Amino acid sequence: MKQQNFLKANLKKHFNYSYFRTGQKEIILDIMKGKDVLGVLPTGSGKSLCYQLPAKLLNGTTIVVSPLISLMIDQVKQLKAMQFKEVVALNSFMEYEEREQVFNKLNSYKLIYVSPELLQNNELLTRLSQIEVSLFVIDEAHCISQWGHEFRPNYLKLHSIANALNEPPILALSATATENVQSDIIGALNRPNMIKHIYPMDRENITFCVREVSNEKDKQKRIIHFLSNHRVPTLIYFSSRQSTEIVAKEIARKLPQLRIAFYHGGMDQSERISIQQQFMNDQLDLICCTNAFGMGINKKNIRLVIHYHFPSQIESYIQEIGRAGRDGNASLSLLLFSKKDYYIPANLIQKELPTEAELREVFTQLAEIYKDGYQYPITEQHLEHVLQINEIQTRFLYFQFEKHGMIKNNTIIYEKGHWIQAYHKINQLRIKRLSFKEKKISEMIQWMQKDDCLRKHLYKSFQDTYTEPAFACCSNCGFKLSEWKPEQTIVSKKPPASWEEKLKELFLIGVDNETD
Amino acid sequence: MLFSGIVLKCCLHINDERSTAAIFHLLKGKRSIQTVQDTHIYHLDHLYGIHQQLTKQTFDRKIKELHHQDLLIPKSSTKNIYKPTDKAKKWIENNKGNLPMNRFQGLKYYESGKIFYQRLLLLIQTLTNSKMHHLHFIPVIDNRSVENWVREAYKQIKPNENKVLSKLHEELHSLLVHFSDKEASLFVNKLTGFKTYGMSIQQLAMMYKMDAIDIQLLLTSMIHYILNVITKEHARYPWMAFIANHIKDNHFMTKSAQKTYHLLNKEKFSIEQIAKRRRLKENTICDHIVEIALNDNHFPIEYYVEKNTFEEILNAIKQTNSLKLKHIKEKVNDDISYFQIRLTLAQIKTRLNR
Repeated sequence: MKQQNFLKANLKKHFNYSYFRTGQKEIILDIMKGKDVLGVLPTGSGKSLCYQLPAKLLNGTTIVVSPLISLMIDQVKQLKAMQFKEVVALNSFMEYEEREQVFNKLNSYKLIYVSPELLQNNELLTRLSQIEVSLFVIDEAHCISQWGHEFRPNYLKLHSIANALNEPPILALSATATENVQSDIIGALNRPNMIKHIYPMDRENITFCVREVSNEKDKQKRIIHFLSNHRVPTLIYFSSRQSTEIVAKEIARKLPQLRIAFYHGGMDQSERISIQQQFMNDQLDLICCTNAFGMGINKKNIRLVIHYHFPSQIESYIQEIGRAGRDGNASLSLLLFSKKDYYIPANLIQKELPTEAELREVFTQLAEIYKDGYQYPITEQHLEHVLQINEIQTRFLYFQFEKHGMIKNNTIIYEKGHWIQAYHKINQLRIKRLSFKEKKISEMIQWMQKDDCLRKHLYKSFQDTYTEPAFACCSNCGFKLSEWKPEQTIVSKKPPASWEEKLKELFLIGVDNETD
Repeated sequence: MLFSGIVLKCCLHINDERSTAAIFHLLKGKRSIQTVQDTHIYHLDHLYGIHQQLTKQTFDRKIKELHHQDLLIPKSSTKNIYKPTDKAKKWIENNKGNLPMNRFQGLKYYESGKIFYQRLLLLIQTLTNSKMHHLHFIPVIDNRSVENWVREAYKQIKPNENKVLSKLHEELHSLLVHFSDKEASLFVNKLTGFKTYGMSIQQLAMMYKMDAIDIQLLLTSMIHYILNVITKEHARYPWMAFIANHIKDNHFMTKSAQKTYHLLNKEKFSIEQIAKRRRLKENTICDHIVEIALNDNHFPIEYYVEKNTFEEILNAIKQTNSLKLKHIKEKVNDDISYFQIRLTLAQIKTRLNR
């Protein structure tokens, strides 16, 4: 009890929250006891607080491995804005000088975010091993499992990295981990006594609606019609950058009263920040985005999440709709698809894995590089550049080459017979992963085509039961779009008539700031 | 439209002596000897580095577009050299009023303009939020040195926060009056204050029905113009001048050339000695010297180019009526090196400037 009060007081002091949310207290209590913990908490439940508060309270440094650089940077910004200053995000984009500066005072940070790629850097690892690490956090821990929805080969090395850091307690976190993935995580980290804190991921305040439409035009027409009488904070998800821009412009043309923006990973950092912040500030009604948007965005009143394109797996879908209704109020997930859409995710996964011909080509080129007596170290970036394959494919291949001893310490090790064997093994794995991903897509499509309760089927592979829906359940349980009556956004303030007025307003001229 | 105008203007000045890549590097502000020389020779100082985020893709698309509009035609044999058509000249003439080309001062402000603007944005965000006692905001600018500057500035200003805010408003207002209403409102919409985040470039593009790239260029032109005014009338704009203050003077020389300059001037080293000392090729040092000659009015050219040689090169330039190195080289004695020709060209340029 004493410990609980202590935690609660610090929660208020450092983060200005009065209460813990589901699961947070239980996880933090175990962490403070120095236990290894696996936490599976739904998106938007405040996972990051589970290590941010201990980071503030523990003696040494907390290291967080996260695969999403933009997410790390966002979190650091948010923490700094909350006056949590002893925090830094290390990534390979840092300039040399800045990196040196940070490397030289690692022990002055309470919280260090780092990408799994950078953890491969020996210099960093040596330096980290010299400071006191009180907690090693693995965010998005499902990346450790080959059968999780986003496998990251570098995550498999985290076990040996924990070893190099003198075996600190580990906190593995994920929003989507089936039972298989959970045991993969515990196995790969070799911490059999890890305490599991698994929380259900169903969201009782979200209503599901899936609609088949005849074509693209029809889809846009329906969305525009729906938005024309539902002005609520909205996200629309797309599978490509280009379509976010095109559809955003189309909606803006048809509904000029709505405040609309698009958002994707191809935009400048500063452009992205400004869109995010406007949305947080309720300056925007609607964002057309790719899955790059949303991670680390903690906007409570998102009412509507539309899928213009459906994601390639149920896990992603659950994560994306999980951004709606964090305040507990009635929210809606609307997924629209046409038969044509079935092929989009399949095309996308083709890009993630090399074809057989590409694999053969890569082997040939690698052998040539070896035979030419190439002197420089072969790194992932190098491979990506020389072989002209994309980043995701490179990550997959490089890891396999290392695993099969074809590349060791950035040097090619050539042995013909061995390479032939490796080729077959990698090709087998390629086929296996491809069919795994195809299976994921067909799971998603099957779910969309269900004619009984969507809620029941959505969560069945993650948990046995779900909470009774707080509002309407789903379009298969009798919900009609016309019934949905959320509170509308009212923009009462008239926009300033001239730039001069606007400038005056912005500079708070005439606004009294005397609070007492 | 602005971007089209800028590219056409560059093509006109360059007079089909360079490939379009030269224009791309110039607008992007590439710090190479070749680009710097082009900038000076073709009198494009004002457009140097005015769009540093420009991508090759966007640029190539624009060239293609101008070609399709019959504003540019490829020069017969080689593909990447384009010539502006008569239609292009007319186009520029007709749109003169809408192209704020004269506001740009790229070479002077290509770096300081950016820093000045970032400081301005972050300072406004900081002061307005502070006035409302709201210190938990996410900064709009993600640049360490700018953040540090604003932090220091804020400490100084804090006691007179209200007064400074209203002075800053007055100054910015009287600066923005110089522009059209549309331009001023665009500038204001980009500003971030208390619980109002500024619009992104893409949003402004949607709102004003302009290309994103034109929005960016327009803002840059406004910033250059503002900087120019406050430098001239700093007594009238003390707070704006404060923001523009102490941005490292743009010594326009690459860092490496500055080192060479030092060895040449202070230590009186020869090209060979400098190359050895710095472990660089002699050619590289020659490049530096050309760069130095472009910046130093008192550069002792006689040291590298004898008077006769100088005259010979001058004659060749007149004969060929071209500033292209290859053309000149063909017309002069074989003993005369490219280095000497480049130095001569640099000298002519600096003399013209004086």
